[in-house]
Amino acid sequence: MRHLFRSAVCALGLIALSVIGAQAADFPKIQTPALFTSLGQSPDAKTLSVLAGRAKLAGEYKPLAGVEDVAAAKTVFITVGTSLKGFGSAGVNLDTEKKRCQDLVKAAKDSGAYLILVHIGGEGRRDAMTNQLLEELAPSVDAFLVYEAGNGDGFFTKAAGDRPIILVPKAIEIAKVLGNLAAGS
Amino acid sequence: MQIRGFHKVRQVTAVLLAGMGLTSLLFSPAAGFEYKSEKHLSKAAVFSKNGMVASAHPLASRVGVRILEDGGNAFDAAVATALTLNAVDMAMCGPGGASFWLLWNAKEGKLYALDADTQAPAAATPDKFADRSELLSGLKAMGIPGNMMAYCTVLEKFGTMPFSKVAEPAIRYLEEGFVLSQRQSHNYKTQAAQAPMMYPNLARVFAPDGEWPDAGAIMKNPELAATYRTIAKEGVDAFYKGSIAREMVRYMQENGGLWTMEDLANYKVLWVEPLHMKYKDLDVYGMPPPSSSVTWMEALKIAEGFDWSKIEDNSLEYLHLMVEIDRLAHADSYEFVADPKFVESQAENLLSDNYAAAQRLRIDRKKAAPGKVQPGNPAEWSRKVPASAALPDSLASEPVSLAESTRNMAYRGNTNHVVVVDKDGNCVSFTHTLGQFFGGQDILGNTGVIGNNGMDWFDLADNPWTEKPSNLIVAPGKRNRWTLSPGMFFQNGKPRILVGGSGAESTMPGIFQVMIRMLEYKLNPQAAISSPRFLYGDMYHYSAGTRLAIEPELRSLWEKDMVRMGHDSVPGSQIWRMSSGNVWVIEIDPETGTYAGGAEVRGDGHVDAF
Repeated sequence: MRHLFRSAVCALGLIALSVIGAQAADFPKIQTPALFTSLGQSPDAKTLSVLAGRAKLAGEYKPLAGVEDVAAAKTVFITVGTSLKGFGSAGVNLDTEKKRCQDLVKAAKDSGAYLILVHIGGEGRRDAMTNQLLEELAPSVDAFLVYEAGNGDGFFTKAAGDRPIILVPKAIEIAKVLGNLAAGS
Repeated sequence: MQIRGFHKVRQVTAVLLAGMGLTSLLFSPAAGFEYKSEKHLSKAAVFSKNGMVASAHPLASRVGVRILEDGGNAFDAAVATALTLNAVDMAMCGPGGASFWLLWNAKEGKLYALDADTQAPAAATPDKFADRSELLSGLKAMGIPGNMMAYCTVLEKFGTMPFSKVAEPAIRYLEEGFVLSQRQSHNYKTQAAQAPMMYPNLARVFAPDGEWPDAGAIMKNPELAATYRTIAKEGVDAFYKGSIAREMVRYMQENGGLWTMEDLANYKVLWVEPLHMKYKDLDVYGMPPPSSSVTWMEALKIAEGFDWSKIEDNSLEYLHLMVEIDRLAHADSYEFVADPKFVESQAENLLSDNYAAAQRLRIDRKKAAPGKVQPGNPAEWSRKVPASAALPDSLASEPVSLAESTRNMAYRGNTNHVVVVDKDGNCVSFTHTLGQFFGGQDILGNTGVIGNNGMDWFDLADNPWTEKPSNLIVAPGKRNRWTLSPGMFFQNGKPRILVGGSGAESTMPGIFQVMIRMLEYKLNPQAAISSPRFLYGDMYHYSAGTRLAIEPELRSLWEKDMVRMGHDSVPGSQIWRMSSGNVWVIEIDPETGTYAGGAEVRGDGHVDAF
């Protein structure tokens, strides 16, 4: 009985890993230097940069990155999430963030940087303003990295269409996914 | 035609509400509490005569009452409640946080005030922080904590039971676990979603699978139980100078934090003079800065000069006036509430009759002040009320509101307030906090102690409200401004009302609105708490929000009129009810000496009594 249970758990684990793997397969190996920036000034960009550091993925954290920062990067991770605190402390608002979004996208197209939309805030970061920023950015990115808890309405899978998307079922696995991407596996 | 009909409905509603109150008054008994009837859907106020505890969690309130039933006094019960809250509402408060305490010793007939604020470590200079995010969470965000020293100090000075006894129920919950509520689980998942990713040591204890647990999960923190046992055995020095201190500092220093053993050893709780003012025949006491009691007290002082008997509760006139008063008090709060060792306190000036008169001159009863209302000049205006022409203009600003980002949340809150009264009339009103959800969001080594994010209440540059250099600049040894703001009201020298709240910047307007409902409209504590409220601005001072959020019951009546008067009201679909403050109250009847209690309906508030 115990053996059966173990086998079932292993099988489920393999299925889960294969799902992540299949979705990640289309992702190219992350080229460095990477840039971690935020749209909406939530702490998610900081979180991602810390996790990336733990995964030995070299990059610079600039929550208010501009076009010159994008031009200097090979890969740009843009976390999307609005924060009441972040807006105030950064002195920005929804309109200025939308404008910055357009500038970053254009700079990435000009320089050839690979643009990844990241959403790791889960359900809590699917508020109305975050959704506006997501709709602004999603059509223009090359790939998506999303914590599955934020995809309850299927927004990201639908927005990604044929583009690569990794849906991470557990938040704690994001660091592992970043490590795999850095290693090209 | 439609508009006329709408006005008629409003008039009928207002008359019905007033009539309900009048009917209740006519049939009030001669002695005892004289309340008007409850106007809004609410749970019932709790009445008792032997003792009462109101807190943010039913298990904690129950523990406090059990301590009272076992012969403990209000101080024993307060500490037991606090320690239990640290176990069953650990995101909100803990030994690694800050607190402010008002303590009425009935035998001495004396009110004490204890400041257990968090303090910036000696190494905390602005250049140590790459950006604001390092003030928000992580080890650098943690101020030197005051709570554990406060618990032990209160118990030692006023209590009758040893720490081991009052900590017993908390230790049981920490070791055997408590059941996570739906609201708690929802809050963790939405408000601290990234914490398990960022802080593995926090995840190790509370989210071992890397995800916040669902409602119904059993939550434990046996390492904090061990810390409590060490305190019981070795005393509070273990936390500030001994084995617990060494483990916290080891973890700090190995992971980029700023604390040193000297920071902990040099920390002191401060016995301070309670802040005082008169409100009609009541003596009102609060904590002096860097607590924010002065803010709701200033609002009350301004309000004292208006004739509320001619202003109907829940009317347009009521709402407009309350908002305008609150805006003035809050502008002062952003400017003048700071560590008095670093910034000269203006608290007494802010509560002077002259200053309140000057502030009233700035209020237009027919229209809202534009933009960001600027702080007053308490040093000058308290001496002489200025001419109207000399009063400052508002600072122009674009509307700033992030209400949209918080809608659809059932509840928010980052802090716990507790009010306690015992059979001998001893009273405690204290607020303790970690800051945001899970404070700095990391556990310090194997101590089970979650660090606060008190540093987030400092500024790194200008005051975002005045756009001038801030009084809240981080500095070594400086205590940060908190919105923790306990209060006690006395009548003829005896305690009458114990009050306090939570909810960041919504705390003070929350208390102000509840107290006006009690003092001027004679609602019982629970009815006053349950009545609809508003929040002007945002939850955090540095977002410099300028919009007005009105709870649905009032918004449906007055939103269009308020907009016409110049208020920048958040559209109805984006209301954030939970951010209008959380308040807890006990009232003591001067005739019978019995107690009536109310707890916040917007959160998990609960009154227990016997």
